[in-house]
Amino acid sequence: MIQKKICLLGDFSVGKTSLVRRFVEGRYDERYHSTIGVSVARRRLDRPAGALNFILWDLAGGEDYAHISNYLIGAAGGLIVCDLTRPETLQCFTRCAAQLRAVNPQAVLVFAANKVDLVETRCLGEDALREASAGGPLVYTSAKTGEQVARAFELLAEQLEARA
Amino acid sequence: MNDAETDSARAAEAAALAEARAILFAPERERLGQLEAQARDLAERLRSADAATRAQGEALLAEVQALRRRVEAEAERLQSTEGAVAELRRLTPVDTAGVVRQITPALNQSLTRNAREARDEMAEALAPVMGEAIRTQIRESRSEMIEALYPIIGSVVQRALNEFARELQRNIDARLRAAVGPQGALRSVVARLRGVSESELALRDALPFSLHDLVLIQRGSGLLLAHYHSGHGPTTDADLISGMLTAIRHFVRDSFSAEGEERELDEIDYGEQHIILQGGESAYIAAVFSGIEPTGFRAQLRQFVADLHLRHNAALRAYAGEADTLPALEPQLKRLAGEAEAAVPTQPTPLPRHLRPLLALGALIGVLVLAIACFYLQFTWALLPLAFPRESATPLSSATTIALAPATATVTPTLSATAPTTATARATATTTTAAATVTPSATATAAATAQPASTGVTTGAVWVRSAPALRAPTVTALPANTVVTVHSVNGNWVEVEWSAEGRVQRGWVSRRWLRMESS
Repeated sequence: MIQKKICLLGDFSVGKTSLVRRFVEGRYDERYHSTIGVSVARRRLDRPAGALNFILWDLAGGEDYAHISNYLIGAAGGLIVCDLTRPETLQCFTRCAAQLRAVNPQAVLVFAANKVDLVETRCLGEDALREASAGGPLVYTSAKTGEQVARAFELLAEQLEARA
Repeated sequence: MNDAETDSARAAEAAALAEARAILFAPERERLGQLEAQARDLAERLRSADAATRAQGEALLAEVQALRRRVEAEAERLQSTEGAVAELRRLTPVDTAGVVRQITPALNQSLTRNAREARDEMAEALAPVMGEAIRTQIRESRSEMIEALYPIIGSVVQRALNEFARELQRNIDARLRAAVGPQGALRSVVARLRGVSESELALRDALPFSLHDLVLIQRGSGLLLAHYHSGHGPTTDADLISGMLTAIRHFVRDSFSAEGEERELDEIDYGEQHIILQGGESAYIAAVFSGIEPTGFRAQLRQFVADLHLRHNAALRAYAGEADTLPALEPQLKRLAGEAEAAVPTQPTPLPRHLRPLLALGALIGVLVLAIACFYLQFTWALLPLAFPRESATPLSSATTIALAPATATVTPTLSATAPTTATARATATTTTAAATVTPSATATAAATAQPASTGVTTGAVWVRSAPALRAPTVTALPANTVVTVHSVNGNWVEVEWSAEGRVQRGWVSRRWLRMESS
């Protein structure tokens, strides 16, 4: 079995931990728990090409990512998350991608626009998201409903398999 | 006069004038002719000189032209040489500083790229000269090398010393706990009965070491490299453990280490369980156990990590999640666990069943020996006054006599001041002879108190001395229950008289060995 380290990056409260919980445990918690430092989880993916063991590093969100560079070492991929209801969270797409690539030039990326279930309060449009993701894989997810959550990680797996 | 005449006149005048002139100017004409001849000669000479000069000039010109051609050829060659020199200057490090300036960025870029993308090749290329380079640098700039290496060496030494101090303190604490108190004494007895050393038994009782897990983790990424579970303790998710331990190590290093320091978290305690982290360049090992590790356990871990890096450093560093790129690490972890558990103080084996009667017999013999020893001790204690007498002169000739003496030795003889009369004394004395007298002995010292004749009985075997002093020569020994006649008293000494072998003898005995009997 192949194991890969995947880092989840994004601003505060965009739903990184909820995405991990939905993906790993299949559940959602309405309460908000701020992640301190990092939280590590694991999920096995049975793929046609072979089993993949995703070690998910859910990093605390924030403006200053300089202190989490050590956490990015050895990451094979990154899931960069923004909140569709908060336009300012879109900036992390570019910033986090650059930071992850600076540590791991070969890392694959998937961009997740989370909270797609909040239709009425959505502020970010398709064009802005496409521009921020610079042509990278973009998925509209909802940790609350589970929509496209697994797909986001499958995209990571596909890219990793394609690169292998 | 007509014109013709005029003309002829004029012609004649002219002829005459010419003749006159010829006459007048003949010398001048001759001189002029000479001058003209000279001029012609000079002109001729000039012409010839001019021709020579011209020929010479032409020759010179030809030579100049030849020289010009040569100069042009030389200039051409010089130009080409200058071009070559310029090309050489461009290609060769004539201007070292400039060349270094020009190539440094490219070199740095190349080195950086190689260091990132082809670390193994870089290492292989540099390895052969690294040792020699370091040696040269040390030889030439020793102090600079020391300053450069001090942060690393100092940190390593400090870490090793800290580890040693902790281990020493732990061992001392454990041994003190095991040795002090009644439990320590009991443990000593039990250890001797079981045939193991006290320290081993104490450690076994006080430090129940139990290894649960050995987890080998890639240093930077936190990816699990290998895991060994001993069966003790709960089953753990090694993937999560390796990730979280790595995150914690990063967090601690970022939070508590000063800039430039390379300190690492090396131990975590939680309740009865402990995690020791032993780091290497590309991987580190986490040992999860309960109790207190045996002596040398950390050194074992350190040696294991060092050996592992020596053999598999490239594979450990390059690991990106594909297990087939790694060597077989689990057997090595298992072997390490076996070695660690072998280092635990040995458990004493229970006594075989057939040896238990022998142990009981031995215990019985021990009890008997102990009883005899007690009796002997009490016997010796009783004989102590005899062995070290203060004023008695007990004869040593008869052991049985001596043995019986202590029973009566404490009886203090009393001497009545109102001694009986001589007549009474004679009546009671069983060995009274004619030599007996009621008067004080003549041999008594001046200090002796005259004692009316009375009788006494020796309470034990006692020396009879010639004078009332321990240093006085012995006369003989009187057995116990010998009836004597008392003649005088001098302090603690009594002058007695008795009859033996048909003759009356006299001497001094200690008063404590004499029971006075009133007449």
